[in-house]
Amino acid sequence: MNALLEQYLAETRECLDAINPLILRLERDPTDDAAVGELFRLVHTLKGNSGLFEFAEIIRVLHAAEDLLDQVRGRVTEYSSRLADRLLEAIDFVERSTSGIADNPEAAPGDPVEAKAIADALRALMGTPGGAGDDAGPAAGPTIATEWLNALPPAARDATRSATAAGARVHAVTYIPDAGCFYRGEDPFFTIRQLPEIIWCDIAAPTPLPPVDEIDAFACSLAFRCLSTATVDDLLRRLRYVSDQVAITELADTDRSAAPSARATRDEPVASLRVEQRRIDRLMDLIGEMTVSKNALPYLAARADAGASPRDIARDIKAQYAVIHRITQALQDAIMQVRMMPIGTVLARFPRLVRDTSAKLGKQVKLVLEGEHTEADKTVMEALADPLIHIVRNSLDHGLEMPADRVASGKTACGTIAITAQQDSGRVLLRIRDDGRGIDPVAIRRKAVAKGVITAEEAGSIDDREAINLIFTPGFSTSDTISDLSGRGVGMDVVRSAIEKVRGTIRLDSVVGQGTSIEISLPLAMAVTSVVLIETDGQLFGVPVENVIETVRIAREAIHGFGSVRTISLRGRILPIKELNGLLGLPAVPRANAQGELAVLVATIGGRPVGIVVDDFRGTAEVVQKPHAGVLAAISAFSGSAVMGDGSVLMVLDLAELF
Amino acid sequence: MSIILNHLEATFSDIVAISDADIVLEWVQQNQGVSVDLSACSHLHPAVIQILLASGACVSAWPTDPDLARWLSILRANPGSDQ
Repeated sequence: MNALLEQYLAETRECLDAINPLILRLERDPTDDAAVGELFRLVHTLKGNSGLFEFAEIIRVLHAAEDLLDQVRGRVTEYSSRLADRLLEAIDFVERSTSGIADNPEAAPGDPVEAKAIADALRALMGTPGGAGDDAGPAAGPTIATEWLNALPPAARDATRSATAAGARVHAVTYIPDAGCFYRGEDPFFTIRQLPEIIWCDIAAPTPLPPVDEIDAFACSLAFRCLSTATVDDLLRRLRYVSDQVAITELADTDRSAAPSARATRDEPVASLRVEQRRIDRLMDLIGEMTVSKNALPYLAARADAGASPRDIARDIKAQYAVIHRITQALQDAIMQVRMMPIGTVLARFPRLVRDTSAKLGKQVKLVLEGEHTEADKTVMEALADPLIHIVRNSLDHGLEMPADRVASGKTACGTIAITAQQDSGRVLLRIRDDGRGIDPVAIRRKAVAKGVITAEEAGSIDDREAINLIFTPGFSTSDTISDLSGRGVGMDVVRSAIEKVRGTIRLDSVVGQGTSIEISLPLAMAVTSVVLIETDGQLFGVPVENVIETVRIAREAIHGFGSVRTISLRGRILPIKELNGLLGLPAVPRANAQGELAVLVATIGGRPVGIVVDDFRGTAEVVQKPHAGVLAAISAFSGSAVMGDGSVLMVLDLAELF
Repeated sequence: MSIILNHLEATFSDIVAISDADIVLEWVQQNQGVSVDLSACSHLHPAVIQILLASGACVSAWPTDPDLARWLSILRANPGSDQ
């Protein structure tokens, strides 16, 4: 992809991101002139940029949007929810079309038929300009009626059949010139006769013509219709000056619809990152410092050569190490900063999602976003997007009640979903709160038992909070009916595993009748992992600190066996335990220490504590974990590996996969 | 001149432009049951087409240009003509 196109795509992305919230802002306050002006400017910029590449369909849609917004700006047309819907559709179209460019830069972006429909819908909302000199063609372009296609004349049907039998794609062109076209010196009949590969054609009078004594011969009242086997692009190009009066429809031909898309596999678009200049400057400064401190090493070597005492040399090396250590730490921090992005970029889509979904459900919902500037690593943010959508949809669908039900239970008709983000000691805390009906632990217990997620005894022993957190268990779905919105066969367990994949945790609190709150805690960055080092059968392994609750020593006799299940009692709680050797397929038995005690790592797996018997603990370490590639990637027991200070390789265990 | 108007039959030839529409309109308004010979015609301005259509004029001879003839199927054939 060339650099200019890349730039275009990045800028388009930015414009679209800015446009979406403006459309919604105007919906709340249609009198916000500043917002209208800004929206118009952005759409205008987008159109101008697209013009550079002659993306005809994108331009067509944006042009219509621009004209409409110009009318809104000039108070000719009033801003309405319907208008917002149309604008959002147009913006979605541009978004889809431009993302198509990234996948396939050679194809002309945007489906002409769809573009036409969207542009028509936008233009249909336009009022008649109040005398202002409007050069943009007909103001209120009527939607082109294509009903005749539903019942093709027999000759047209035959022509279509034989053309498709010969492997051609048939497009129907409906050209309804506007009444005043003759005055502009147009000859629509001549225009349409120039179309190539016409296999059938006719002229129709959509409305019965008046008798000759009353006819206005200079107001066009004819419609021209034809079928052509030419490509849509070719047809559109020839009809480009009258495109607002033309509808091109591909005649249904179901057995060939799968044909395009065959050559979708291309080299992957390069993921790019937009970085603030000052962050790069900071990196540059640090590299400079690094270069300077590196120069101290030859000096040290020279001193050693000259016979300085080892003690002095050691002291100098240590001093120099401290300098380099400080710089590398700062470098690491700076490079992390480069990868940081504000959570606002992920949250930006939610106003739209909430608006569309609540309208569909007939609910009134207010979305509150807080802490959009909270930053986290790009990978973490990207991993957060889908689970977050799922959670918000769940709140909209199951959590918030219908307005009437809310009023009946003494709440305001309008429900609230609040998403707040904040940084908290090296982690990002994200809270999604709704004031809906909440989750009933009794119902959850019943359902969990019915679904076989837990036994009836277990249901009795867990507290309410543990009960509601069962919704994260695989195989559990709270809704009995599968709805269009949240019940797409994806349960909350998928949400949890997605969060856990980036080493985050998720927790749910709910009060019946008052609402539900979900708290997600995520690491700020993925690059550095804290691990607990454990030894088993003479080998060292790492376990991410997030998984570890505590490390304990348990006397061998304290392990009880019930059949194949072994448990220990820890502070009055029964924990299932397993031997790491067994999990890894190592034949060795766990080694006890001099007092005959076994080392047990208490970790949380899938939200429940379990004990893992290992040989010994070896402290903690900060490692830079790399995911496995190639053959190793297939071994799910390890989430990755890291190189230790002495050059040895540490394998980091993925406990959830081991169990 | 691309149109010749007789009492009940007109002959159109070459290109009939919008500038001819006035004359044709007047002619159909004054005469009932008219017909047109389009055999030598290569193009008709749509203004003229809609006048012919509104007047119920018949086509006594179809254009020899097959493309034009195909387009004009909406016009009525003369009961006595070959099409």
